[in-house]
Amino acid sequence: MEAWQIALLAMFIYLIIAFSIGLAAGRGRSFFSISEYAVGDRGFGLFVMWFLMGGIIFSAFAFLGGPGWAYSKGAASLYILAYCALGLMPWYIIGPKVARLGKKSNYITMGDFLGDRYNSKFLVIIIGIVSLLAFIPYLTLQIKGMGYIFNVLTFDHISYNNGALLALGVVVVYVATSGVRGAAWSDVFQAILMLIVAWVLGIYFVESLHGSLGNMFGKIIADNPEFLTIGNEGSKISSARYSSNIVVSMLGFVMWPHLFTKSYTTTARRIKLTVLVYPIFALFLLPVLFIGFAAIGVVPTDALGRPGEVLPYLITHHLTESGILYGIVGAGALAAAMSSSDAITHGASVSFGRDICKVIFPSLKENQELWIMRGAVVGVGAIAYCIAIYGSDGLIKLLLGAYGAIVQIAPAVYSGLFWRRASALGVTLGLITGVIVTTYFQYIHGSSPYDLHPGLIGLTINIIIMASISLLQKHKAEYLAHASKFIDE
Amino acid sequence: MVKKFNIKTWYIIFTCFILLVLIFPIFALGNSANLSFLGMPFIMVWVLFWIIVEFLGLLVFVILDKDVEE
Repeated sequence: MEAWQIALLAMFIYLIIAFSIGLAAGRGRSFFSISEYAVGDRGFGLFVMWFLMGGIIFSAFAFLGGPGWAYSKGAASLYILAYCALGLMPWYIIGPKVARLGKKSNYITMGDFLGDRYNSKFLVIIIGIVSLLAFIPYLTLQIKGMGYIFNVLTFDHISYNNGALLALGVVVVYVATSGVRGAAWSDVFQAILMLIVAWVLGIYFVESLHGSLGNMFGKIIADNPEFLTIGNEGSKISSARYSSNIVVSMLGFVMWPHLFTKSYTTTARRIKLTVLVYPIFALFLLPVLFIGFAAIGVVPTDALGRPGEVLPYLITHHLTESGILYGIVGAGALAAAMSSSDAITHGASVSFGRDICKVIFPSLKENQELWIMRGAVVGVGAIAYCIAIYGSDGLIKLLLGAYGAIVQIAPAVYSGLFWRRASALGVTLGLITGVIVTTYFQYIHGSSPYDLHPGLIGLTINIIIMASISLLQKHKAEYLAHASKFIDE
Repeated sequence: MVKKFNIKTWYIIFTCFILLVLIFPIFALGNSANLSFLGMPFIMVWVLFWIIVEFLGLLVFVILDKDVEE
């Protein structure tokens, strides 16, 4: 059997296992309960939480984009480790609070919580729309990764479009039927597979192409010593950009609705224990960067269309002697893309059903709302698929672009939990202005002051507007009393 | 109540500390390509070191944190 056939076989076996686990996870659970579909009846155990949250960072971004960054931008790629390590730290404080509030008032989305706290339907819809706008490019990214992996590893025997459709199809079916539990249990399997593959590959490529880490980095330094530093002449990123990327990613991480709503799936103690293991997950990403560094001097720059293609290039050019390893790698890379896709499609479907449809049509019955959510899984998948096929952009720009918008939700969430005076008008106007400012610097102006992350500029203006309006407004005693319930929780 | 407040405050201080050592200007102390531990550049060792410190710190917080409400 040729290598590509083994890879195809391995990927099929992988898809079948992931599919079965995903479907089986929902068995014996109520098919007609929103609480089950959205938040797994708030009963996830620690083991599932670890891999559910871990699987989300091992996305196509980490697996394809990570080596791509290391290969093309050098030390700038350390940003990935830093933000993964820091991203969940704020959850230790807000997660348990949100979990208790959610249990008490039966929340399943971020919009539920913010809408109740600020007593504003408009805000809920805005949050719903911002989430969907961020989810879709994020999902697009994963779909591109899945299609690309299929296509390249089978040496074009499976087309990009078909590969993406097949992998996405599997995700859509198990998410639509098993809800969050399907995503969670398949993530356990996917995260473990991906971890093993990342380490095997990282060590293998460093050893086989360079002999040792010291040799590999020695060669890079001899060529350009500043490639492995930040903010110097010859470095690929300025110190302001590097730092602001980390700050924005850290504040924005838990604001992703699919992560935020995981607060509702478990208990306060388990949330804290999940935060605890996250730095370890960040360390696990290290070999992903090694893969990219190992490619320097081995993979000619003009051989790649985009830096994100460096890992597939290495696999197809330097790993084909071992058919089985080649196959497992293909499955692992696919797992990375799929373990984020399921969480994203699930998150987007719940946001759409609850934060948009239910608010506009409050008379929807639970059953109807649930079917809208299941339908949205297919709808969101279809839209992202079309964008992935017909649109195109740099791999990482897309994700960071979406982060810029998501982080604008942070002031609403934090002040909702910690500042009594924060008002609906303040947070709504702050949020909208923040998104507009970010979009302006990111896409229209094309550069930003001091080379800071556009999201940070948007966030600063967002906070100023939110705080000044909230302070200027006169608040009724009932409003403050209502707000206190969220702060004292 | 007083004790709970203390733990949270310490946690926030700890979070800010880990953030600050990983971004500029303090990150400049680690911003060097010289090879060190296991042949990795110092900048990478710096990031890894603080991630391990973060884990150990979190471990202490999880142990000290008594509010188990299950």
